[in-house]
Amino acid sequence: MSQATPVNPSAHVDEVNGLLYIEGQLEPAAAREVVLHLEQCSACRRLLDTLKRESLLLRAALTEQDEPLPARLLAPRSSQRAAWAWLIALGLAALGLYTFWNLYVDPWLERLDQSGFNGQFIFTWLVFNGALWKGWNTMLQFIILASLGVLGAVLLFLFRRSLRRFSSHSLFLPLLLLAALAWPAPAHATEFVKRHGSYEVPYGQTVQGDLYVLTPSMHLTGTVEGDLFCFCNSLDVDGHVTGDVFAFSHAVRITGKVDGSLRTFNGELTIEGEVGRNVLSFVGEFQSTSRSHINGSLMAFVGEMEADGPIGHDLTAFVGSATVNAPIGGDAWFRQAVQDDEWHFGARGEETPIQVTSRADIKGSFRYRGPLKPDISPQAHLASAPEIDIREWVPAYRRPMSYWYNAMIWGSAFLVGLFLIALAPGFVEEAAHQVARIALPLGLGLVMMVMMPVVAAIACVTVVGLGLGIPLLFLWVFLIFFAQVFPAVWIGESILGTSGGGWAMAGRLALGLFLIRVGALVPYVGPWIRFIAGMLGFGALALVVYHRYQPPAVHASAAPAHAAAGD
Amino acid sequence: MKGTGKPEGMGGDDLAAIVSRARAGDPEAWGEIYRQFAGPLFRFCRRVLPTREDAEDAAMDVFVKLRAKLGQYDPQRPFSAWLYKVAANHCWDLLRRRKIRQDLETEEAESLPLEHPDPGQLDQIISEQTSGGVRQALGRLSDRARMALVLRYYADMSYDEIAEALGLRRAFVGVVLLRARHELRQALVQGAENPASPSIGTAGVRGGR
Repeated sequence: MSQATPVNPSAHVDEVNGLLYIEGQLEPAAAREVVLHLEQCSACRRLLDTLKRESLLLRAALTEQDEPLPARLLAPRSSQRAAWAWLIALGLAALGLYTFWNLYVDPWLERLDQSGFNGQFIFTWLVFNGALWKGWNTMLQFIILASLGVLGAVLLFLFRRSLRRFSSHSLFLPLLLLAALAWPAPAHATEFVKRHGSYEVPYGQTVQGDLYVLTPSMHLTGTVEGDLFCFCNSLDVDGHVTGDVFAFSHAVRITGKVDGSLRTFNGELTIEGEVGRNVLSFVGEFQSTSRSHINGSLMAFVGEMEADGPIGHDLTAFVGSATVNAPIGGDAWFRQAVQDDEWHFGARGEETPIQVTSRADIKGSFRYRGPLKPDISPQAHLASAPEIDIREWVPAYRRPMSYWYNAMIWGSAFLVGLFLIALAPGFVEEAAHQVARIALPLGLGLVMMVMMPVVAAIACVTVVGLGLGIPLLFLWVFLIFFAQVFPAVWIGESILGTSGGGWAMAGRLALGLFLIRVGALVPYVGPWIRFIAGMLGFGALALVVYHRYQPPAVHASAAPAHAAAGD
Repeated sequence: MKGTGKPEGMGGDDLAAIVSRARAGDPEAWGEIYRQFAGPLFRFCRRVLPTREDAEDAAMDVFVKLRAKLGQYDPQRPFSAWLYKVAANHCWDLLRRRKIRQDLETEEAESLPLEHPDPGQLDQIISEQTSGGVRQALGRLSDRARMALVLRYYADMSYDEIAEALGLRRAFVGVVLLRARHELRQALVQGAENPASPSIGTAGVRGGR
């Protein structure tokens, strides 16, 4: 049974046999000899007593509950089946994002690239192209590096066990280096003008460098040797701008010459002069007269469009209605809005077909997608047969793509929610509770939704606030999409209860988001469900931020009032 | 607060019923097993492994293994013995993979002569110790010595089970345990001289890695 060390009753018990004896591991014969010896030998009795006391001490030291159980061991680990469920959910989310990229983003990037909007990033292409703010590219670079940093941190966290032996310095230094590389470069020399009345750069006067103007109305008959940024009610460019023009105005009229590109966000855009490069416009009404000339491409998101002036390259337009009355050097690509009847409770809007008149001369292809067959004059010159894709309005639930679209939204919102839960579970929980107050977050959400872009625009307009305004604008866009995470968690909690840790919360999020997306497919009610979910999320977020960051004194006095409002 | 390496608040019959339900795939029963054994298993890992984080990770991993291997469990044997066997194998693999303090773990360790203690001196060492002091000293032992003591005096393993877990001949288990006690006494004496030494099972992180 045990090791066979012979025990001699007259000899002392050695320590090994003593231990084996007290632990009951000696053969019976050997044990008897030890017993006999112990009767005569006090030294050995003392040794064995001490060994026994040592055993007791060891047992006590080892079994003492000296530390609490770690939090992550408190709840049972999710089962293997659940792990598979998560993998499938994440896989679907990734697939959804991939589909979204392939179906929507990538073709547009290609299109933009062909249209001469060069650059690397979609936002740069669409709006700024490095022109609004010289630090823009650096900031994008910084955002990308920061994202990489976050990704790296997540990977480090996941693989921390294999990496534990590396010192933190080996990570800190490269991160510091990246941060140093990403630090924005100093701004260029520019001129800022802020007026309460109208502002004019008269004929003969030249502004050297970029010009930022904030004024009710601006009239340029002189020259700007750089870019012009105008935030005003009306802008008239009769003179010459050697760089780009960026206009955030109600009415823009270009009768002079812009050597670079023109980018506008406005109500009415009229081009009577020349644009050296491309035009990108988000505008209610667009008109280019026969005297005008756009050397590059025109891309417009526009309600009503009348293009009478020649366009050097492609014309790409999302339109309500359009008339093409001019030569176009490249492709003409139209996408006419399908009246989204969901918002109008079934009332069909007045739709006018796109007119392509006899003066049109399209050197590239002509493509159309929308509800009405374009009215193409037989005299119009088209290089090839028009490709026309008629799309009738059908309810979302009957469009197969809308299921994909909703799956994609579900997936991306779930990923964002999962990230938030991992990062700040308490915050998400609190926001979900705020959602339950319904009226308050709904109202506040509505206000926030309207106010945030206004505040962002004001921040941008004050120029110094660009660094604040642009991220705020992005946060707003991000929230419009992802604020639904908070009501989703609340819905999940209402159904599944509130017990369990982060993974349980993620499960509730998945269910809540799923229900919101299913609701979004219901005809007529769907858009309202999306809207209300977004508003609730917005408002709840604002409430949590308010509660967390208000000064303690205010908090103390405000708490009962809030509690009352909540009840 | 005193505890044991036994499950928390469950009779043997109850446990057998719960284990058999868990084996049949009842998630509630598994949750119950988890709740009962999470504490003891975590403390086991905490006594054996160098850091608290290691112990948390190991405890989680052991639970995953246990659940996956639940079908292999022989209901004739005590569940806790099987649980600690899986845990011991896991932790021992972990320690061996890291090859910590290999220098102290020569295969011939068992054959080295053991110095016979002076009972009076030994008595004094033991009398002066607190549980915390012993846990601190454990952190300074070789992995095998610490493992052997934990398997025997925390998990209540038999000599056969210890031999199997540590890959020893059964006849050497007593010697390994005694050698471990000698190492511990030495560590206790050193700890008394240098109280700032790192430890296991307390907040410290062991050095020498």
